[in-house]
Amino acid sequence: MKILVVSLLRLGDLIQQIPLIEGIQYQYPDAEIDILINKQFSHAQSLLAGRVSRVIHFDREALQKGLGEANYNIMWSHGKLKTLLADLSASNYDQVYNFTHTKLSAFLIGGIVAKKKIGLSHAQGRFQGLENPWLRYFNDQFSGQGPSLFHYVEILGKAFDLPVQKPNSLAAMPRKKRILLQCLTSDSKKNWGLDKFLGLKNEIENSLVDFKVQILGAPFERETLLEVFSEKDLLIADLAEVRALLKEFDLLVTGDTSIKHLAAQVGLPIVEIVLGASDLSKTGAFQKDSVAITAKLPCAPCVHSKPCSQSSHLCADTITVGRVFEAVWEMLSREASAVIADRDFDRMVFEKHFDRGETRTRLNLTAKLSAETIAQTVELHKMAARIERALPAPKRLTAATSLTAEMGELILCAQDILKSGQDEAGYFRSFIESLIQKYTNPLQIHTRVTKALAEVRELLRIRDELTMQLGQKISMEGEYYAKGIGQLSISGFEETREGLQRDYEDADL
Amino acid sequence: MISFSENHESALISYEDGQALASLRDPQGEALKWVYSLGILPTKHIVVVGLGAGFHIAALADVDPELRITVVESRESLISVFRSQFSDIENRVEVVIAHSAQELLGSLAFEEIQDNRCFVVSFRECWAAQANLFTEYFAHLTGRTLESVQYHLAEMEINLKALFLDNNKTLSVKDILPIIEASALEEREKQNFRILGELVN
Repeated sequence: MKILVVSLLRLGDLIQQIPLIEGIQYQYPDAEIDILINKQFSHAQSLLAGRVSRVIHFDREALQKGLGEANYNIMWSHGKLKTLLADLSASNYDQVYNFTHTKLSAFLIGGIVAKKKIGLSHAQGRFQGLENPWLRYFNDQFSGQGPSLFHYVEILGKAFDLPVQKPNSLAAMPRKKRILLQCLTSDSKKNWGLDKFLGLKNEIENSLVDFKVQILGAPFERETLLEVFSEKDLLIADLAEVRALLKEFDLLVTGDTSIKHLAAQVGLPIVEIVLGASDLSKTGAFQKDSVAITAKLPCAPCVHSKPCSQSSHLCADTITVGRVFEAVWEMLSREASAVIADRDFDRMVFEKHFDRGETRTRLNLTAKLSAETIAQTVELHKMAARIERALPAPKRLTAATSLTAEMGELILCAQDILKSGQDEAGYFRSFIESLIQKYTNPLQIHTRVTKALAEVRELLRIRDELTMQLGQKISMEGEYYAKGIGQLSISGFEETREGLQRDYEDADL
Repeated sequence: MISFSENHESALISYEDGQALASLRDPQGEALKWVYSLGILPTKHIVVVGLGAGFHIAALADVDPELRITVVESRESLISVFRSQFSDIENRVEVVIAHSAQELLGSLAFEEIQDNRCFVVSFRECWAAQANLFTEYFAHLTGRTLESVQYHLAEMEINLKALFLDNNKTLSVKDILPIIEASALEEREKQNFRILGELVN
């Protein structure tokens, strides 16, 4: 079997995708796997050794030069691309995986002749693959503005049904009493500052006297690091050497770097300082033993390609040496929590929903939900009940002279959900989207909202079911009664004009 | 009017209406500097707009012995001096004379240059009074004018209605995309252009 993996993102993403490639190897042990990567990251090829048979380069820079510079024939890039697609097609791949999930990669896969295409591709004038709930989540939530419950690798693993293993943590190994600091990133907006890293190094060595701190850097970073650190503190290594070196440490403190993803793969615990355009929910390390320190500022995360909009590097200034040291201390003395975090609980709910009731995540029945998680469940039910009440009956919509009057309450519901910030996980995402899509007939809105509500109800049902499995109870009835929601008869609305306008069909909804 | 004169090193320098078409003091040094400024050349067939005194052509040929060079020029009288002064590269350099854009577009050389997707360079120091004409040649030779786009689309059996595009501007792939989408071109060929469209976004 011949397989092609299309991976046209940045270096960090390529490193993160290694567990996915290993998943393919596990599923098809005899397969010959080729990978298409951006030529500018060809130096990372050594990391793929033993995992792929052939690394093929996509020379994005040359193609863009050919398109943008006046000296090139207008069709030069077209010719180059055509040759590449013909070569890939001639390889007769049985399967092509899209690990990139961009329009560019979808078009590219659309142009390759292969027996099966897995992931986003373009064919017959439209994008294919979005019928998969995991890819749809990737498309709508992960690639959108909101935070993602799932890591990039998890989503693709689920979408492609690949077994993805998180590496065994080195935290359980005997202490080496060595801590590594990766001070520089590829983007100055993501740098915390060498002086602060020096302060952290001193703090660690003064407080944990038997620990040794070393500064990791690439050969081209040596001069910059020597401005602050001494030669004996430096550990200069290229990407190929770093992987083995990481296993010799107890902890890595880093910004958003490729080294972070390599550390995640070897199971090295990580303290990540999330600055600038780094978005923790999207580029965080794929491993359990990591903690992130973020600056909660309105401008964060900022736009990757734009300079910092503030007069000073505010996000870096907000994070003190003391705060990072606390995180280092926490990681070194960490014990497993007996309380399931909100986000982890949401992940279980969505995973079960996307996998149609099946989930690979084992529920730890000794763990408990926090009071906040239970309260959140109640809030979500209230929101759902309000939407159900606000949805006008189909016949009212068809007869309506003013759609705004009929739909006003629904739109207010959506606005309140967005403003409240209670639904970061996206339980009501499909409901909100159903209201902002174009329509030609008012009944279309009804159909879409009804369908979205069915999804909301299913998610809440799963949430309740998991809560019950954990032996905890949601006392919604009492809550509803106290607030006068849901349990009142229809006459309860008669005091207001809106209540009088509603009919029993409406109430049934 | 074209004339020639020897400099202090007995190299023949050509002039157009009294304007030198190369550096009088150091034509070889100027030519070499120009060649280095081009960087790595992406194709093995290079088109140079403007023959001038020819020192830049000789420098280009010298840097890469494998390079095939086509020079497009409008001043025929420059050729004989170039051939006599740089006889060693005679077989490697083809000089195409076109007195007008129409003549260039109708030539076999134009077709070959388009078919080979040649990299086109210019040595503006030798353009003198031909600057406007050579600017037009440059745009045609890189395939970025309406006429040359029509040529490429015809290769794909698309008959472009001229009014669709602005014939006064230099075109890019982005201008071609709507034409490709609306054409009866095979879906896989369209994907190729869609990828290019993403790369210019």
